[in-house]
Amino acid sequence: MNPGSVLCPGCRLPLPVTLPGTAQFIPCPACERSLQVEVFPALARPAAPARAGEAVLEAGVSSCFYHDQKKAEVACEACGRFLCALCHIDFNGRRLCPSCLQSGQTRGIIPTLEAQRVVWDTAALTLCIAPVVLVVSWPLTFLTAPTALGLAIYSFFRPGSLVRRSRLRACLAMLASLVQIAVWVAALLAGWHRGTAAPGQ
Amino acid sequence: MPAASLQPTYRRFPGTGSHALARVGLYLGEDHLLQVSANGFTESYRRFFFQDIQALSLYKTPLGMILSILEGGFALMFGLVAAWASSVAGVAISFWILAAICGACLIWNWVAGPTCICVIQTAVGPQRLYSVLRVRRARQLIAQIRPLILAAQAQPTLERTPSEPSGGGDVPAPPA
Repeated sequence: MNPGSVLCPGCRLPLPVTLPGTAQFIPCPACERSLQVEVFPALARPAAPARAGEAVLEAGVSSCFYHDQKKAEVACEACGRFLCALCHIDFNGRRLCPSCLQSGQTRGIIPTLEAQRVVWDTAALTLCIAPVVLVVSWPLTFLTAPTALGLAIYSFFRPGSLVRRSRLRACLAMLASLVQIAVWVAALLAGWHRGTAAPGQ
Repeated sequence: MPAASLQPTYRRFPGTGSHALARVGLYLGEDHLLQVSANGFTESYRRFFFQDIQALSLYKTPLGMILSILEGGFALMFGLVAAWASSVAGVAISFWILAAICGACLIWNWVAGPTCICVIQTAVGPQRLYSVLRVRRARQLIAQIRPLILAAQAQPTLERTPSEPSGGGDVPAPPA
């Protein structure tokens, strides 16, 4: 994609749009579809040129932790390692090395790097509801109800959704699973009682 | 590594869509938009930082018109059946209820306005916002985030210049 061009969402060809960022209806020259395009200054911003880093030419000059032949330019703001132009990463206004960035992602220290999360309370609620909604699969509740109860309890010890803060779903899942377990226990007790009843009674 | 960052707070933007068997929602953060895809067990996140957004585009789709035609057609059909079977009270009432439901859906579709596809473009490429399905919602979104984007892009980015350590001064030489 050429820098400074907006693609038509329909045909993916460049549109003739210009700054400043005001809404304008324009027809796509290729597919003639009428579009409303809002353009922002970042469209005209040139891409930062890639830099491989300068070589160490003099003795005593600091070198990069990962490339000892390249001159160090900055220090990682997390661990303090010296980094060349190739290694240091500008992220959210901070300069970090690849290791700190990766460890921040895997340890969940940098929330904005998290791309996926298992949501245990939602999973528990889904396990409670799905077999009941799909009427033919209600016997599966014999297995899914205890599993859902376990997941709901486990969810209290794990981080929840990134965008929801309440534990309402976990509580609903616990309640629904307990009801299902109680129904199964009552049914099994009733069946057992009927089976052990004396003949003729 | 510094202490764990506080979890960012988000404000939900109205509207829900679907994509690849997942429910998609849009949230507004301090410095980015967050698109969340939830399939009942996991959530996937895609962030669009205001500093990187190049354009927002939307175009109308015929889905709203198609829905109106279908809902109107079913409402009319159920109404005709109910009128034809007026002598049988139970059947007539059932079909009047179905006709009323279809009519309510038709009215809601008209009130919601025309449907559209909204696409956000960054340097990586265009990405569709699956939860923005109506022109009215898309325009509300644009009006809401336009000042945030312009404010973020008016700030100078962190320039990568040679020999510019954080905190000023030269990079100290390692100890001998």
